[in-house]
Amino acid sequence: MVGREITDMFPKRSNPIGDVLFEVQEWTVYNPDNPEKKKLDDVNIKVRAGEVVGLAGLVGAGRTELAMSVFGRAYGDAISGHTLIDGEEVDISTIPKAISHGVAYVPEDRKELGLVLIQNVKENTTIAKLRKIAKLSVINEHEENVVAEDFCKRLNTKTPTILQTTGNLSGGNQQKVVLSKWLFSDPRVLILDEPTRGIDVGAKHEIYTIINSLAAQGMACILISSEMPEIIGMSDRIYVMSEGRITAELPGRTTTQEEIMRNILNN
Amino acid sequence: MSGLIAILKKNVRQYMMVIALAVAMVAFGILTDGIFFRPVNLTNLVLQNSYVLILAVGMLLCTLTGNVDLSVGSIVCFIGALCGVMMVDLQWNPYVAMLLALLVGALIGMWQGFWIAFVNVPPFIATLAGMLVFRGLGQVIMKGQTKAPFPKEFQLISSGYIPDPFGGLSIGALHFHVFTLLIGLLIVALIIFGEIQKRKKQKKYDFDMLPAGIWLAKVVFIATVLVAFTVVFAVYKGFPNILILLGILVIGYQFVASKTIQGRHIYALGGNRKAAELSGVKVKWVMFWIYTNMAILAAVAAMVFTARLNSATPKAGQNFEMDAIAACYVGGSAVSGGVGSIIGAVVGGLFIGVLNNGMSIIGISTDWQQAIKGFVLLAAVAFDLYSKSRSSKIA
Repeated sequence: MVGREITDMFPKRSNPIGDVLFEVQEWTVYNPDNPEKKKLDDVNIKVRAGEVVGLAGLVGAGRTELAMSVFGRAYGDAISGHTLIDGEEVDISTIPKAISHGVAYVPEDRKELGLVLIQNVKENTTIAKLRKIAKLSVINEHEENVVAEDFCKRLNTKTPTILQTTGNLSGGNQQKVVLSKWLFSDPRVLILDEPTRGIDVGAKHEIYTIINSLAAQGMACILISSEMPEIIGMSDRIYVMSEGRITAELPGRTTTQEEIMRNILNN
Repeated sequence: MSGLIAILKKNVRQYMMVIALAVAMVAFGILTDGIFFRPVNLTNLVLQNSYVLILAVGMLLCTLTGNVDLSVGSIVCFIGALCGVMMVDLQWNPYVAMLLALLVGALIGMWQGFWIAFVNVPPFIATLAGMLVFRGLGQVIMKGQTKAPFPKEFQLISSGYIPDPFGGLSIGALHFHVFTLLIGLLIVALIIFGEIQKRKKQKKYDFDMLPAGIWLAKVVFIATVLVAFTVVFAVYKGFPNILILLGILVIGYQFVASKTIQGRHIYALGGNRKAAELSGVKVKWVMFWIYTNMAILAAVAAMVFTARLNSATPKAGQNFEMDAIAACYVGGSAVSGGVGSIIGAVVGGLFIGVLNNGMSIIGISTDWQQAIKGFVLLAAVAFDLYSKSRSSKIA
């Protein structure tokens, strides 16, 4: 955990990047608290299979609102625009529809929005797609246990058992349970909103490694982060957002913090 | 030993509730010189509390979401009135009438469910409105009069006992209802089988288990108690029909709540509505069906109650919702939602019922009984919150 070189902070990734998997076009969303005001204005983004696309911007730029409005219209009023998967327009206007089309959203606030803290690791892991382990609505306990154990092993989640109440886990392990839940839902598009906030350095690195391996498997990843080094180090491309608009598209890894800030302030 | 402590800590509430029930029964058995345990009294205990337990089963699902349904007493009044009109005034076929009663219950539930789930009226308000509306409508229908008597077939719900196709068994002076014995023994066998399976699974996954000696004691205790009660009913008139109905409802709902996708969604909603919604739980529809279901069970309770009194009265159902709500919270439901079980609500309801029954035999007035019921509810919830705050401090 301690003793890792700063330059090793972000694991390397060099998988081939495929075709455009997920696309958002002309996405306009009004503020539900202030229906006259636009929260998002004509946003267009593309994400390819195997790509990690970063969304940079200041707090309030509309990044979480973009993610949540796209994900089953969980945020926003008077939403207009198109969402495409594999080049074809899809209806992901409710959260169940979004999940069934392979879109997953790992929320910013894992305790309030990502987990049911009074429930255990097993229950939180399977909640997004219980029918995978159920027959005629009856849950197969054995399969559920296997799934939960399997994810704990894959993501190296440290928990005494899968019956541990998630509220008792550390931040990093809680985030791994949230990731387990979304991976169990068989996503093709994974939206990660501040995935390493409030997590210790060692767990942060583990999560970066997980994100990289998901991209390597062909997932289209959208990474929302307020940590400039993180977004630069992990992304193949970066969209810069400011006041509800995309103001720039920059290459990942080689771009600089100054470049990003310039595009935020130059609105 | 650490496995025992871990399990006890986790299930303190449930174990305490069952122990409290057992203690109360033994205490009243002593205080009433054994009258409490007489077959006729135990049968009465079941019959008198049947409607509360039916309501508690439905109310449990509401409390899991952190809410209640205040309208159930009034729905009992309204559906009772409807049954009176159909079966006493219009002399319709009782089976058709009962089906219609269930249907109307479902419609009432969908009505309240609509306001709660899709218009976002707080359940407390929507069901408070229902409480006023349906008692009012029930009284409009009855015009201040009582409707009686009901057809024999209808009365059998509450006054009938299961038949004995085996003709009974006489041993000395005792006459046993064989079918009752068989059902009782079958249930005991199933429970023992279930406990063995559960223990096998716990071993397989290395979960916390009770130490073998204590587990065995627990299973033997449960089996003995159930066999004893079966025999008590068997030497009297056998299992009442209503007990069978209750058994089916309790087992059915416990299964759905704990082992199905729908049940899991309800618990997730109750634990954290927003997180459940973001995980794909259709929270609006879950709420809709919970309140629809509650009203259907209220219709069942209405028929059970009306059949027992053999009359529909304008005052029927008063305070039923309070009894059902108390049963749920005494039985371990958390005020904030997400915690509770069907079995817990039933044990809670039985505990209150035992208190009422025992106190009646001793001769304590019903007014005092009401006051004591209130204190029990307060004590149960306060203890819950206290033990929760203690365990979170330890963690």
